[in-house]
Amino acid sequence: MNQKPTVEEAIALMGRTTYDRPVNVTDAVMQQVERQPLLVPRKHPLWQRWTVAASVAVLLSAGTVAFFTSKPSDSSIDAIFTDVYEYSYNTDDATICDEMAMASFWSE
Amino acid sequence: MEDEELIQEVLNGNTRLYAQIVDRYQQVVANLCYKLCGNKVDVEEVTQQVFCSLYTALPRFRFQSKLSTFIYRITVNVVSKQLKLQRRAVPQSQLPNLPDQGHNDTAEQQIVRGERDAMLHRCINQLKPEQRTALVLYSFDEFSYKEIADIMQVSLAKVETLIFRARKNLKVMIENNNWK
Repeated sequence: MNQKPTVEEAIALMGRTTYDRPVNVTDAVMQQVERQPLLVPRKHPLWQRWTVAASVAVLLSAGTVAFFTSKPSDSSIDAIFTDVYEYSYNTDDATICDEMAMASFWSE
Repeated sequence: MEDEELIQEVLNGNTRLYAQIVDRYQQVVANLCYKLCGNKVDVEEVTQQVFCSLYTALPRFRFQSKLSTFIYRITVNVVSKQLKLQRRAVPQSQLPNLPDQGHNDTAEQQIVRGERDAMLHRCINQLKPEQRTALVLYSFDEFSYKEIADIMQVSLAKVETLIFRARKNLKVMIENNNWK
């Protein structure tokens, strides 16, 4: 008894430890359970799941192809510069924008 | 009625049969809760929570593992949440009651044994929660490492590491205590 216990002794002690009181939670659990409906997930038929997956795949592929093949037109770039130029003259903080717009203009 | 049949019946709307599942597993769940919590105060409350959680989780049961494994997994999750909420040490007066091992011991020897077991329990309760859970499951019901991994939802390698570290830390704690 004077020796230090071993780890195996500690594990055996954990194994021996039991809850010695009788447990009866059935009524309390059933009262709570009967109040809440059980949400069983509805399974969609296989053909529906495949249709949705295929549609998503087609849309994603089309979007990706469109994104990588399209180029901005020259007119749209001009429109941006025009907007910046007009904005620089029509607002209070025109100094910086004016410089930006002019720099863009002369670098053309 | 087998576990699987009972679950199927409950899922089909015969909720009253759920009482049979509770009756069948409540003592073993309470026992595991007690080992994991380390005190008797919360056992009934936590056991109740486990069965309420199990009920809502039943639709997710895939019948690929044993129902007991699924129940133990929920128990471990509920107890971990509870312990995180409480974060309190195990009160001295609530240390586990152990079955009498030394029938032939004198009164003095029994006292010494009791103190020794209480000290060991204090060491066990000082382990990190994950390490303690792994070690409790290892000592409980002779679970294999694979089953412990399933219950704790971690890899087999992690279970091995947790048990190895738990043993190592326990050894250090035992070494550092003064034993009579």
